[in-house]
Amino acid sequence: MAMLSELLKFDVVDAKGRSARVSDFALEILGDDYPPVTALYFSEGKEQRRIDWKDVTEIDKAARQFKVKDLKDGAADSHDERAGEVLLKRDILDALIIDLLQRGTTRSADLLLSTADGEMRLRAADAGLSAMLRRITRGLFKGARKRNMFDWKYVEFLRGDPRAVESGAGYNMRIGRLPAGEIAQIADYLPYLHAAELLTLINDDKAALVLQAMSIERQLQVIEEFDEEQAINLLTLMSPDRSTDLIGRLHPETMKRYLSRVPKKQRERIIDLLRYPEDSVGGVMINNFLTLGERTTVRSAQEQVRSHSKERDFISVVFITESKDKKVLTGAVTIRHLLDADDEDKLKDVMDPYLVTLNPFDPAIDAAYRVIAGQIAAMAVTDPEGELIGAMTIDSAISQIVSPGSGLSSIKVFS
Amino acid sequence: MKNRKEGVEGLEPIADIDAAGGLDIPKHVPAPAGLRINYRGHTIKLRGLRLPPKGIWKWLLVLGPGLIATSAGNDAGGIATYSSAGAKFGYDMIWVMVVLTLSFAVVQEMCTRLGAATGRGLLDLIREKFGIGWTLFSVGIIVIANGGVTISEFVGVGAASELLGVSRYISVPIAAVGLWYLVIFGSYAKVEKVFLLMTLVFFAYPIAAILGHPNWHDVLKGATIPKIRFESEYVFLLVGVLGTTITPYIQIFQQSSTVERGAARKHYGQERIDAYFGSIFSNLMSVSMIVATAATLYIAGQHDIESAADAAKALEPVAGSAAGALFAVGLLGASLLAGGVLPLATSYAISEAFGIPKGVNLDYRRGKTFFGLFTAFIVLGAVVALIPNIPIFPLLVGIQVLNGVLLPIVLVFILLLVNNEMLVGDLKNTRTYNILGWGTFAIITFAVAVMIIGQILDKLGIDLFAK
Repeated sequence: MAMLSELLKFDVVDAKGRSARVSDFALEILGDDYPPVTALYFSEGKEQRRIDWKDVTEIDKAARQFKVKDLKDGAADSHDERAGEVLLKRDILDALIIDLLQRGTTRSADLLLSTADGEMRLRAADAGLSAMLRRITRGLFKGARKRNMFDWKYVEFLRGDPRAVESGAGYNMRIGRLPAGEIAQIADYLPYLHAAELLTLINDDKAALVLQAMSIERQLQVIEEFDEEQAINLLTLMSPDRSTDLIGRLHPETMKRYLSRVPKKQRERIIDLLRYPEDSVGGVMINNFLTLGERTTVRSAQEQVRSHSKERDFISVVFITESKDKKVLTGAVTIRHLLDADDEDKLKDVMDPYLVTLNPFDPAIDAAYRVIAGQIAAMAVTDPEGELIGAMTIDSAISQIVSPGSGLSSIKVFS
Repeated sequence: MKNRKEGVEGLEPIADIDAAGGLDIPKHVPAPAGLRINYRGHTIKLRGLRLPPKGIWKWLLVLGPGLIATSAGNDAGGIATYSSAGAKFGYDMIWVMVVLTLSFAVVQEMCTRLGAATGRGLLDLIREKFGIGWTLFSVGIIVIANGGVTISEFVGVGAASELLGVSRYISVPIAAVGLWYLVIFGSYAKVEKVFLLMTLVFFAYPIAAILGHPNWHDVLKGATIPKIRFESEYVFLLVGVLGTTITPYIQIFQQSSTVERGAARKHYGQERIDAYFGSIFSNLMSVSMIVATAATLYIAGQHDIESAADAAKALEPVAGSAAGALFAVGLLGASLLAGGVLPLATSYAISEAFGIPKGVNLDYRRGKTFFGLFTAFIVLGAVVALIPNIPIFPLLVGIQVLNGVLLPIVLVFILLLVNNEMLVGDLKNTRTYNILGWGTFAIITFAVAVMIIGQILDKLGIDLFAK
């Protein structure tokens, strides 16, 4: 094992006795849990040169040397090649890293590499004070504490450039393994360019979930870093209520432009929600959920729940209306009851007809306590004629009552 | 259904929300932005097509980190320096403040721009771009210097409260707990509002200046005609004024709080006004202190002022008890503000250097280290300030030297960073900014060198200038 700070003091020496100082190491970042070093950069006079790792014949730690056949095998440094590579010193040392096990962030002060069987692999990032002392004392201080070492298998590193992925830069690509809510919590306290960069490392579906779970202030900063295409894509994939919260805070001109480009269905839902005051029930309700007519059979209802499960934001409760076209609310049935009922029963026979409903202009905070006190997954929102226009979910209710600093104000579990 | 429309026509939805179902909603909504309606005893805010605020609100809502950071620079040490300048040299140093205002505004604006363009604090960027050595050096000095200044702020709170008849053993713990509670349990927006309110206390100084009945013709002359004296006291006070006005913690706080406020590069512009306004406001207050003491103490021949409390005490018999009380109130407010800003700036700096989650908006669970650091600095300041007969003056001199060493380095970092196109893109410095920025760096470096060499020679019993 060796630390990068130590290896950067090594020389590259060839059989003819020529030597040069090592300046960086290139990694095959997605090659393994512990990525191997693929090339070595060294300075020869004012010139930077690159030599493939396969040309390294020996690592002589005592003499602080990497032995190669011929230094002249080293190619002159190509800027394009460098741009597409992950370099240990340039990209990872001192970079902001995310500890995926503890869901925390820190800065890598040094890097631990294993040197065995002619291979060199990145094993861990050292973020401790001891690593900093080691670097500034040029190796005089040798201590290292295990608890400050972050296993590379569970680390993501960031550059602070949301365009880096687009331009072909390499990443560890492990952040996507965390649940969306946890990624959002991490992103909430990263610098906003790092947060935007983080979203580019995961697929769009998950990125939309992460974006909507972030605080609204952070959502605004992040979405503005994306190009319009990407921003509209994410706004389309987000649930309409969260899309509305975000779009409602954009500059009016941007808002109109974005709205005109999101698909029609999503646009209609967003416009519906935009009509309500932001701290009213209408402002926090969802309007993309399944409603079925009361004459629908349980079998058909189950099939519809199954077929709509992905596109709807909320399926824990199915709201029942007079018919498919007449939207007057008559009852509700939970998924559990629906699965338990006889296939040939009609929904009006299995539904709960005694519902408490909310007015869209009720203050959201009062309604939130009613939803939580009622211990129900969602409460229907109706207009004065009794027509169903939305639902306040338990998620929205919790979001209303938690403190802004808790990181739970954008919670999405059921919806 | 009022809320069911096809297509995107009529995107002004609020105009469509009329008295639906007999609700108490205005039939004709005059403007969509920030409109609130009453419903069942609750006020709720209408949404949709938010327009940016207009008129006076447009300007007032911009104020924040800039005004707070620059005002915090007029702390107990600042008041002592400016009062001393007025008491010793009358109106002769006002021109320095006029020149300094430009430099100050340029430096503060660059920090704000860096914060908005990168979303990162100053130490964050120093760590990334200049490496671990410079980071640890900067953090080391910041911790020692800011720790010392924090103590002096709580000493200021104690001294001011005693001038107003309240024992320091009551006022200092209350101030410490109050500031701690505000930051630990408040949001950034709340902290910013309270700090902004605290800046109002600085109006005590212009009032004190007016009560001193200055000769405004002489004030104008002092502000427009540079007058340099080659005397050691004048030179060291000049350097002191420079160092008190442009201080590293002001830059660190301004950049980090701009980041925490959520400023983004796409909308950068309004923050610039905050930086400029803050610098001008803060220096106007400093000039008021000089004028107040010049019009009274200088005329009365009372030239020796060592602390802000001394100035307040000395003002009473000369300018009346109201002027003395105003100075004491100003000192209390200024010390309280800086007593909150300094521990915050230090916590920001350490957290940024080591990549620790930071920010007032974090809850305690996620920001343990950040809040732990803040708590430690508050406790340190309050506890040490309560030690009887603590030699605060030598402590402040030492801190001034440390800040003096750090300031040119920080200025170079700021200038290099704000010229890095890869980092700040379109927001990089213009040529004018660079001329003003590097000019400020040159002046500050020269002044700091004079101060340090002067102090070394002073210890050796050699005087560079005439007495």
